[in-house]
Amino acid sequence: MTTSKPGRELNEMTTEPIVRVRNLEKHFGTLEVLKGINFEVKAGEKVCIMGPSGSGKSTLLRCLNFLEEPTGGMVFLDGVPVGYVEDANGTRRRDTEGNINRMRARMGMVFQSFNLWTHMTALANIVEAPVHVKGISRRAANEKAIGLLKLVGLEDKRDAYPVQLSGGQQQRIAIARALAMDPEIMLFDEPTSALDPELVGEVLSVISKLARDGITMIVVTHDIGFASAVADRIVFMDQGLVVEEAPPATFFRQPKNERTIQFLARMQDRSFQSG
Amino acid sequence: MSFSMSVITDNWSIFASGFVATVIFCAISTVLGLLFSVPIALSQLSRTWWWRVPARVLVEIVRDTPFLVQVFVIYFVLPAMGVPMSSTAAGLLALSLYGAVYFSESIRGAILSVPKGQVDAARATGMSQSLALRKIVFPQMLGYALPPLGNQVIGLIKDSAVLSIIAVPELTMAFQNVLGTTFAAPEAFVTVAVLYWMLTAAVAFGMSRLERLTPTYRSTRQAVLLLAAADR
Amino acid sequence: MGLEWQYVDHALPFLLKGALVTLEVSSLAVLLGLLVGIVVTVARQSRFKALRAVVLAYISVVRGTPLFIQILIVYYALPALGLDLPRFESGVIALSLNSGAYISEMIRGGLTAIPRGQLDAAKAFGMPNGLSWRRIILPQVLFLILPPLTVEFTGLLKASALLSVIGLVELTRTAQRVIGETLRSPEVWLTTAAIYFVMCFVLGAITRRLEKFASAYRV
Repeated sequence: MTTSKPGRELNEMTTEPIVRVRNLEKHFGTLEVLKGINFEVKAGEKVCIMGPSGSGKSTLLRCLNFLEEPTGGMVFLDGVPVGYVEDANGTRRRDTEGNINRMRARMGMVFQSFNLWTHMTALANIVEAPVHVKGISRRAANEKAIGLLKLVGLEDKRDAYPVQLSGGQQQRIAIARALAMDPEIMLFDEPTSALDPELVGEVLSVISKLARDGITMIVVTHDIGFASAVADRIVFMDQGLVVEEAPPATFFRQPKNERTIQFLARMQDRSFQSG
Repeated sequence: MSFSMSVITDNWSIFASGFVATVIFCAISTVLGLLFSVPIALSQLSRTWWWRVPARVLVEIVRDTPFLVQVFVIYFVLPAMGVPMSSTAAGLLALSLYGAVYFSESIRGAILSVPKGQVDAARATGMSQSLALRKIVFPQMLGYALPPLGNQVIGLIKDSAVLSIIAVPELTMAFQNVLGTTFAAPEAFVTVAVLYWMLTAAVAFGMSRLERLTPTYRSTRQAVLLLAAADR
Repeated sequence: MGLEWQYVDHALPFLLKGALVTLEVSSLAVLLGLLVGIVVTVARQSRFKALRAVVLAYISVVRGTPLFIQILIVYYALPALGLDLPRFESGVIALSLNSGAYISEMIRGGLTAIPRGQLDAAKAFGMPNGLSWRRIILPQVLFLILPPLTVEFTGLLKASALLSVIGLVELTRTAQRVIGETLRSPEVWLTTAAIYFVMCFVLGAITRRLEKFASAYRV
């Protein structure tokens, strides 16, 4: 059993990857979305997953914390399989709900549509999981929550309801909510795709700050500027496979694969048109 | 607890006549109700307050009082004011009034659901208001009105059971008679439940067939067929 | 018109007492009906086919037969099953069994109105199913169905008049008793209708307010 260290304090690279994905496959009926994904993320690494729509990026992320159940392959968190128990002869069975939940609690997820619980205030959203899933005392959780609200710059919104907040504010609260669980890794599923352009910046600056603090993270994003500034490594996916993997400098300036080049060309066109 | 079919067969004529009475009662009330619901609905949409207000007051009174109390008021108050009332007449009047008011709400809602632009376009071609209502609003309104109307007719059938309280000889009265003489509650209940259920199912079926005849349904269906053909 | 209203003055206190009973019966029925509705909704998603079938049959019967007959059955048939309940309890049970079927439809509608992301987020944080239901889904559903619940309550206020037939002394039965003593049938009935009207009309206004409130809080 590995101890879970708060992501923020971990800034040395260890050899055992925090997350390892082995031959991950996922199909919905006849539609194959993930066709065999292999990659890993080490402690302190910041990985950006990019790719055209339908490439399977979000599905991959959701398989990591078992919100989607893979149809083949395996995900490992700190070397332990997620969602499945593998016995001696390699056959696997679905793990107990309790174990799955415990694994999920060690990963923090931020959704494209924020998913703040609408009947609770910002503060209540942040302390809900620590109090009810981890059993932390309400007082301790509240203190930590206020600290996190300060971190994302929204301490004056602690008693606001999601309906009273802008998209950018809701997403920042969602980030604070995920951080409150001291996760080993943060998973961001297109965190700014649902935001109006002028609100994107405030969210990205929070994520950048977390990156600078050394938090391990996987970010699915369209934003080239953000990826090149923050990522240690870009993973490019197309049609359910990892096509290319490289540090930003190499990825953006010397793409090797044909499909990567096409994708980047299309993204360039778009930025010229909007810029 | 034993279930004896003999209870049902022995009293079959009582159930049957009650069933027929209920069907006739509900049919007449539905027709009368539909007839009066249209002026009640249109009055509420009128621009003059002396049409609008009385209609709305009538609707509110009927909607905000129990049907049983309405039956009692008609059965006891009208005779005191000089209008003679048999239980059958009172029952018919109460049920028709009840139906008229609830139907009028469905019709009013359906009329309001027709986009205003439809009437604008009609007037722009020179149609008079009444012509526009008849040829443009009414056909479209049917598609919106039939589903809630169907449900309300079913509600009317169920509420007609209340008329047994003033001794109208319908199905629930038959139920109480059989219950009183045989004390065979399960048999009586199952029989009556099945009969009411058959009646409401028939109405629901009839309504769905009617809905297929409405212009809204047919135009939607045509659009769907066109799109499917285009895909090929 | 020949109506003499001074008799109404004497009758009014009794009628209002009856109205209180009406309110009591209806309130209990709607709360119990909410419980029944929740149970029914959960049972509908059960793995056991038999349970699902029973629940669907119950809903069919309740929605396809007159409430009046259901009231008579509960009052007269239940003693045969060994349950001899007094009128008030009997009435509450009949009304709540009826409401429960309709309220479960409201709950199902409310559940579909809750964005799937709410549950996703709960799962992502490792919340077990029971916890996420209790703390995330249920509060939101209850809030969403508040307006239709008040409509149901208004319906129950009117339906409670039928309980007079099994002898429960609510507003309608009280009116009949008063008429038995004073023989002023028209005046009493008109007054009784007016009392029902005031109750339901006020509730209607409250419902409209609730609808506005509920829609303002949706994200």
